Amino acid sequence: MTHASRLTAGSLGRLLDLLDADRDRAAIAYEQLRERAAGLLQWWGATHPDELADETLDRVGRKLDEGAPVTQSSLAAYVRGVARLVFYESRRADRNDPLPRHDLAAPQPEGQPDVLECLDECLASLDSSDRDVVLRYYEGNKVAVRQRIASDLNISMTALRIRMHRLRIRLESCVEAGLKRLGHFEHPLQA
Amino acid sequence: MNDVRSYLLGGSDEATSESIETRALQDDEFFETIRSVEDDLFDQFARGELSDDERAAFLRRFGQQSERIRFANALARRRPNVIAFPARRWLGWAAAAAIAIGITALVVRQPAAPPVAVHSQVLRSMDVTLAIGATRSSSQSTQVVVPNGISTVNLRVRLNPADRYEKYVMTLRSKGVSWGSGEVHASNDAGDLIVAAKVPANILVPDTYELSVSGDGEELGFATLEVRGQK
Repeated sequence: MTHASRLTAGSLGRLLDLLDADRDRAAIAYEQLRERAAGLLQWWGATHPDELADETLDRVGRKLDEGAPVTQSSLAAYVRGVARLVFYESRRADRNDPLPRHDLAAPQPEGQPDVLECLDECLASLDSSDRDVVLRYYEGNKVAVRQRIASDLNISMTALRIRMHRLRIRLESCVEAGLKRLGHFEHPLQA
Repeated sequence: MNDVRSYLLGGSDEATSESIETRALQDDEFFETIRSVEDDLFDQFARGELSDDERAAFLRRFGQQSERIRFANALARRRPNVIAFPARRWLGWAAAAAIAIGITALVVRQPAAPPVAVHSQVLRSMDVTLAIGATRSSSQSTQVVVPNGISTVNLRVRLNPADRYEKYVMTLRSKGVSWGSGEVHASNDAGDLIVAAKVPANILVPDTYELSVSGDGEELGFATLEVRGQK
C-alpha cells in the first residue's frame, strides 16, 4: 500500500499547534505520536504500520483543518478512532490484493554460531555497567532479580523497564548490522 | 503489567483495550513500558514458556517481526558463561602458583620467549590454553597478541585432575579490567581436565592480566597473561 501525504501546511500546522505551542517541541511530539500510532497498528496486526500511521495523522490533520472539535485532552482518543478506521480500510484492501501468506508457525532456529557471535560482540560493545545490567535483567525474566536491579540502580521498575528496552533496541540493531556484514540476508518464509 | 500482557496476547475486553490504547497514545512512558512487556513476551516465546494458546496468539500478533524473534532466540540460547563484573579496585597481585603454559594461538616473539606457531589467516576466535602449575618459582609471563579481526578469545585452563569440583569461576584482572566467567563446568579433553570460557577480545587491551581459577569457592591457582598490541 503506497501512501503520499495529503497533509497541507495548514492542516499540519493545526495538528502541531494542538500538540504544543512551541513548534520545535511540537515536531518532536508529532514524531512520538506517529511512533505510538504505528505501535497501535502493529498490535492490531497491520502489515504496514508505519504507512498507516502516516495516513492516520494525515487524516487527523485534515479533520482539524476542517474544524473537527478536537482538544489536546481528546486528541489521543480521536487519533485512536481514526487509526481504527484506517486499519479496517487497509484490511479490506489487503483482502482484495492479498500478500503471500507467511507460515510463521516455526520460528527460525537461531542457535547459529554467527548470530550468537554477533550478540556477544554487541554485548561487549556496551559499557561494562550496561552489559552487566542487561545480562542480569534478561537472564530468566525473574521479577525478584529485576526488583533487585532497580533497587541497586536506585530507579523505579518502570524506569528500569524502559532503560532495558532502549538497550535492547540498540543490541537488536547491532546484531542485525553484524549479520549483514557477515552476509546474512533475510530469506522469505515458506508459505 | 498483567493487563498489558493480556492485551498484547489479545485477551483483553474492548473497554480495557481502548483504555490501554488511548493511554499509550498520550503517555510516552506507558508506551515504552508496553514495548518492554513485548520484549518479555519475545523472550518467553524463545524459551518455550508460553502455553499453546499464548504461543498461537503471540505468533498472530508478532510473528512477522523476525528480527526481534531472532534476537530473542539468540539471547535464550546464549550460554551464560560470560558476565562482566562491575569494576573493582585493583588490590594488587595475590600470591600466584607457578605456571606451565601451552599456547595454541598467536604469541609475540620476545628474546626470552620460545617461538610459537603463528596463524596466518585471520580468525574470528582464537584459543589460549594455560595450565596452572604447582610452584611460583617456575612461572613466566605468557605473552599473547590478539590479532585484528578476532572477536573472542577462548580461554582454556588445564587443571590438575584431582581438582574436580561441581563448578568453577575464572576471573581475569588488570588495573583497568575486571572480567568474570560466571559459573562454568569442567570437561574432559583427551584426558585433560579443562575449564573454558569465552573472553570478548575487545576487553583484552595491551596490559598484564592475572587469571585466577576457583572451584566451588576454593582458589585453585593463578596464571599471568601479558597481552601485547599488534605490530
